Formats: sequence, C-alpha cells, structure tokens
Amino acid sequence: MKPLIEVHSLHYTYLRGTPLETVALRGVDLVVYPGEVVGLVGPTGSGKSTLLQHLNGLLRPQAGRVVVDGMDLGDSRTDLRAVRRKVGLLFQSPEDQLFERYVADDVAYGPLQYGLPPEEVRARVRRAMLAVGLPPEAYADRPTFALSGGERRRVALAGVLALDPQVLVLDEPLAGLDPAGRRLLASLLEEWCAQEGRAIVWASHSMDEVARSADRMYLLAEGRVIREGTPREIFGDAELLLEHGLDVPAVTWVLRELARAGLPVRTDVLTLEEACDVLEGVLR
Amino acid sequence: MRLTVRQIVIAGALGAIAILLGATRIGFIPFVLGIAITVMHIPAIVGAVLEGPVVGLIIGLLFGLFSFAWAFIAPTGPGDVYFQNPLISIVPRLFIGPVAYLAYRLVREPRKSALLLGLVLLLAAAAIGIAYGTPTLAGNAGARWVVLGAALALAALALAGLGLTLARYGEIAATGVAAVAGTLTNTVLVLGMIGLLGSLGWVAPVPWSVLLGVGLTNGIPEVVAAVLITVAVVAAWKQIEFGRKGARIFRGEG
Amino acid sequence: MSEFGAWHILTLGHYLPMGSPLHRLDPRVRLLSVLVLGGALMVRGQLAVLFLGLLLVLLLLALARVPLGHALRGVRALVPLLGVVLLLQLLFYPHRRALVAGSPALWQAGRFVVSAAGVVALVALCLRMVALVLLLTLLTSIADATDLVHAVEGLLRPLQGIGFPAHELALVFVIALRFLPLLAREMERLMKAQAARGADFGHGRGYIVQRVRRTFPLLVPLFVLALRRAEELAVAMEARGYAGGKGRSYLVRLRMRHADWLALAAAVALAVLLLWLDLGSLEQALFRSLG
Repeated sequence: MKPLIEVHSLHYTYLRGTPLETVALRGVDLVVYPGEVVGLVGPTGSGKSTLLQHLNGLLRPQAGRVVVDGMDLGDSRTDLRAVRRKVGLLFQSPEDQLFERYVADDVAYGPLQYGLPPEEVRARVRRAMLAVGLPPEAYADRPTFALSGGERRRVALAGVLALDPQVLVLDEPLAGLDPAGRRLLASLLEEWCAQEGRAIVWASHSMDEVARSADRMYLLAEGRVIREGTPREIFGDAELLLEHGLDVPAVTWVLRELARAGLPVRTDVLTLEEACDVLEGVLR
Repeated sequence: MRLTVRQIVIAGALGAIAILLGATRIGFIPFVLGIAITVMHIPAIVGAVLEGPVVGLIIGLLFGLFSFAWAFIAPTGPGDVYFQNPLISIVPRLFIGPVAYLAYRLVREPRKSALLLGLVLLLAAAAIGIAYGTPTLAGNAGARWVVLGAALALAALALAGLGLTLARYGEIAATGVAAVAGTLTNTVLVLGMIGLLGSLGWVAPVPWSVLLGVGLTNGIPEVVAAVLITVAVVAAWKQIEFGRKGARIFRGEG
Repeated sequence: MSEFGAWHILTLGHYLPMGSPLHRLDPRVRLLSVLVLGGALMVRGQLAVLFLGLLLVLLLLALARVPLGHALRGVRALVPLLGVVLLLQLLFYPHRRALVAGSPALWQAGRFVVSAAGVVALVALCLRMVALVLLLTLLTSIADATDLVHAVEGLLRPLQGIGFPAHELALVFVIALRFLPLLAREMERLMKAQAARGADFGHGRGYIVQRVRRTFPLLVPLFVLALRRAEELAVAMEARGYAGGKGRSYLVRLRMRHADWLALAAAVALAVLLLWLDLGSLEQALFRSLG
C-alpha cells in the first residue's frame, strides 16, 4: 500500500544561525497510510506543532524529506497550493479563524480561493456541512458568530473538508469541548476517515483521546520519535510515558495499580469498556 | 472622565492592534502604483463606536505615539521626517475617535442631529454674511469667499440629508458614517497639519496641490477600506445582521 | 514562520529579574531615563554622536546584566526592515547637494551619484535604529508590567488634580503592551490557518473593494479575538476586586532615594551631553581623507 505521507529524517531549527536558535525536530520519521488514524503524542516542546506544519508545506524541511502523495515538499518547484488541497490542516481552536457573516460562505471560502466554479463549490459546501452534522438547510444562513463554540469548530472543520483533502491533520481537535461535543466530533472524524483513501493525523496531549481513536501512534519528545506502535503497545509501557512527562490513560493507570497490588489483571487496557470487562472477569 | 474596567481593557487591546498593524505589513494594503493605504486608524474608530469617545481618544493617542516613535526607529522614506513631529503624528490622531463617535451618534439620533445641523448652517450663513459684508473683500476676493461659504452650506445640507436618510438603516449605517468621518479626520488633519506647519516654516513645506493630490489618491481608497472593515468588525462583534439575510454562495453569487 | 513577516520586534525583550543596580531603581527613574536618552538619540544625526550613544546603551545593557543574546533578539527582528529602509534612504538622500557642500562622491552610475555624506548619514541612521531598539529592549528587560504601571502612573499623577485619569491611562499602556505579543502570535496563527485553506494575502489585483475583502480573513477574526480576550480580562479583573483608580490603595509606595536621584541626574546629564556634542569636525576629516 502506497503511503499518503512520508517523512524521512526531518530536521528543523527555528531562527537558525542566530544566537537564539532552537532545534525543534531532530530527524523525525513518520509515515501515514490510507485508512488509518495516526496519533501524535508528546509533551509541550516536543516538536508536534512543527512537525504538523511540515505536512502541508507551511514549513519547508531544512534537512530530510517530506513527501505528500508523491510530491516532495523540499523541492521548491512543488506547488504548495496543490499540497494544501490534499492535506487539510486544522489548528488548535480553529473556530477563531471564522470571518464570514454566514456559515455557508465561510465553508465556501476555501474552494472559492482555489477557483472552483460556483456550482461545484455549492455541492462541496453541502457535502461538507452534512459531514460535520450541520445540515445546510438549517445552518447555511445562520450567522457565524452567533453559533456556539462547538458548532463553530465544526464549521471550521467543514471549511477544510470542503477542499476534499485526503489527509486531515488535526492539532488538539477536541480541546476545550464539553464531553458531548468531544464525542460528536470524534465520531464525525472517524466517519470521515472510514471513506476510501483517507487518513487522519491526530496530535493531542490527551492520552485517552488518542488511545480511543488512533490505529497507530508516534510518541514524540525533544524533537525525536521515541516510540512508534499501536496505542496498546505504547500505553502498556507506562514507565516510558512517565519518563517523558506524559500521563497514562486513566483506566490503564487504575489497572496497573491493581496489578501491582496483586490482582491478576491485564494492564494493556485502553478504554473504560475494556477495563470493565477485565474487572468483571476478575471479580467472578 | 471615569473609565470602566471594560473600557480600559478594550482601549488597550485595540491600541495593541493599531500598533501591530503599523509594525507589520498587514497595516498597509497595497494599491496601484506602489501606493499603500493604511488601516491603522481603524481600531480607533471601532473603539469609539463600541465604547465611546474617550476610548477612541486613547486608542488614537496610542496610534499617534507609535507613529511618532516608529518614524525614528524605522523611517522608510522621506515622508517619515514629517511624522517625527508630534504635531503631525500625534495631535491629529487624537481626533479620529471622538469625531467618529460624534458622526455615529448624529446618525443614530436624527432629532439631535437636525438641531446640530441647524447650528452648522447658521454658522455657515454667518460666515458668508461677514465675508460679504466686509468692504475690503468685495470684488473678486469677496466672490471667492461667498462661493466657499455657499459650498460649505450646501455640503452641510447634503450631509444632513444623507445622515437623516441613513438613520433609518440603523447601527450599521451609523458605523459606516463613523468610519468615513474618522478616516477623513485622519487624512485631513494630518495633511492639513503638514501644510500648516510647512507654511509656517516649521517643516519643509509641501505645496497644497501635492497635499490635495495625496489626500484624494490615498484618502478615498482609505475611506472605502475603513468602511468595509469597520462595518465587518462591528457587525461580527455585535452580531448584527444587515443587507442580505443569508449566505452569498447559495444566492447565485461567488 | 519565515514567509509570514518580521513582526518579532513586538516580542522584544521580556523582563529579566537580574537584580542589577538598574533593576533596583525607582520605576519612574527607569522609564524617564530611557525616554530622555531615547529622545536625545532621536534628535541627533551625527555619526560619531550616535556611535557614542550606541556604546552608552550597550554599557547600560551590561550594567543591567542583560545577556547579549536576549538583546540581540530585538535587533534581529530589525534586520529585514533595515535593508528596505537603507535602500530607500540611499535613494532619497540629496546627494547632489552634499557634493556641492564639499562631500566627495563615492560612486556614480549615469545620473545617479552617491556621496560620502550620504553613506555617512546612512550608517548613522543604522546606528540610531539599533540603539533605539536596544534601548527599548533595555527598558522591557529592567521593568516588568507592574513597574511600568507604577512608573507611568507615578509620572502622570501630578496631573490627576486637574481630572487627568493618570491611573487609567497607565493601565491602558500596560495592557496594550501585554496584548502585543499575544495578538502577534494570534495573527501568525490566523495567517497560517487561512493559508492552509488557500488564502492568498500577498498578490493584489482588482479594485479596492476586492483588495480590502482579501484582508477580512485576517483582520475580522483578529479584532473579534482581541475584543473577546479584552472582555474576559475585564471580567477577571472585576472578579478580583478591581474597581478603578478612585480611592485605590497601594501596597508599594514609590519613594525616591538618593540613588534614584543620582541615576536620574546621570541620565539627564548624559542626554544633554549627547545633545550638545558636536563632532562634525570628525566627519569633515573623514571626508577629506576619502576625497
């Protein structure tokens, strides 16, 4: 299977050559295949943000290679606008970027900027709004700034989905939402990713989030990939996580403590449901 | 002149935007032939419309102080020498907010504005009367004054009519008028100050024709920009809807 | 970050509690001294004087124990601007007049000539820009937000008698200073987010209305965000019992000590010196040696 995104030995230093230079990435390798949700976890300063910005060409690699669907981002001839149609990047608190008076217009902004004909733009807007659970009939003419935070975040997502990207790169997509909002957004994203040829790169501080949604994940610290594997593999190694200042998912923690106290329980548990099953098994 | 906490903080925040706009490229929208129009005065207008004349005054002060300091720190052309004079960079900017506020209030409260305009017309008439009456001004020079006075009176009438009709369109129209007034204040007072100080010999003089030219080529687009941006910002913040009631994209427009 | 402009100047020097003798001065003295010296630098144009001024600022930075790297950050932000400024100044300098006044020509290309006086003026301008930025860095390094509020307020307090809202104004200044780096970061985030959607801020075409519309994705969210943060801050301040300047009591009372008066006198003296020094003869000697 051909990867959608390949990152080889990526290096990046901010303010290179000045007395204030900071090394953000020290040789990161990453690969994203169609159909998967790739989690990116790491403490602040680990280089998550920097890495994400390389995936759609906002930053160009100083050393190493970033290839998106065959396009090399280190090559100055690469058309960045084409890259940004394939890779949609959503920053933290994307609801802050809305500026149009009405919802449908903001969603339409991206496609219009790419010069797509109005009829096609309308179709894309409708599709995108449906995909985020904001049916166009009800929401198209709603004033953007009158919506709730969660609704505005979905409008921002729709704006990116309207460009029909193959990969969605998300920086803390669920941060600041209430539990219901988080569940809704998470399920919308999973639904989107289930489509043919799509993938998601999901950067987060929240272990629970990544544990639940990611198929594969990378653990980043100090600009390097410390570990790569499935959530189960990585969260099972609690020592590694703690060593890098990260937390273990709550349920994993509880079961570890129980195991340490002598109970015969598995510790590679990620979700509440699994934990309940394991505990039930033991209590019987 | 007691300010509420809210006013103080908003003045600070909008003042910061004005400075940010001035220090980066964002504050200058490139127009034809390398002319760039500025939007740095807009925070003062927004502040005046949202929170009153004092807030507008303070933001104008911050704008002016920055403009003054920047003319020394990073002068980008021969024009910057003028802004090194606080009478040109600071004083005119103090008026942007209060004038914008005044315009906003006048359009929002047409009854009061009718009264005020009556006063203005009276003054204009008085000016014409004096000019005409003075014997030394009779003849060619006198005619010029009469024409000036008549033009002023007509302009006042036109503005009054405009204001009264716009009053029906509520807050948004008032905001637009405020933006026009604020921008014109900035342009007219700054250029006027340059001309005045030039004729007094305090700075290198610039011919009035040049000043007028700059005023028109920069001023008109700046007014347009200010109206568009101010209205967009105020409408978004106060969540006011105006004009068409729905998304453009589904109404056959791009 | 590189394609999005040089606004780093606004994230200039953060407060560094170095505990140096400069840090311990009355905040009013710190502010006044910087203003007075800055003023002197703004007024003078002679190369030698500005050079001395720059040395003075560097000395003050050393006295304040500000690390060189920190100070350089502000200067580094100036570099892209410097190029543009210098080029424009070179073009607009009255070279011919300088030639008539006795300055030798350094370079000639057709009708365009560059005089030695022009180059000297350019270098002087450079020095001034750097000195002023370093001075500003000095101020922000030796005085934090609270110090600055006290300073501005203290200086304006005499005016409070005539109804001048000194306290409120001081607070506005400090809040603006606090919001600057915050808004600068937000603006960068906005630019990137909109660029990720295909926004194109740079290349302008079309009528003025179209060009202005193109700035909406940046300006409208920026204003709304700033207003929202301002509201939140105001609510937070009120929740903490802030009720304006009237009848406010202060934990710290500003009192000028001998050291403060001495420092202020020194600053004023240095500023006067910079204003009075006439090293024009040095420039003439330079010209003659080049001629």
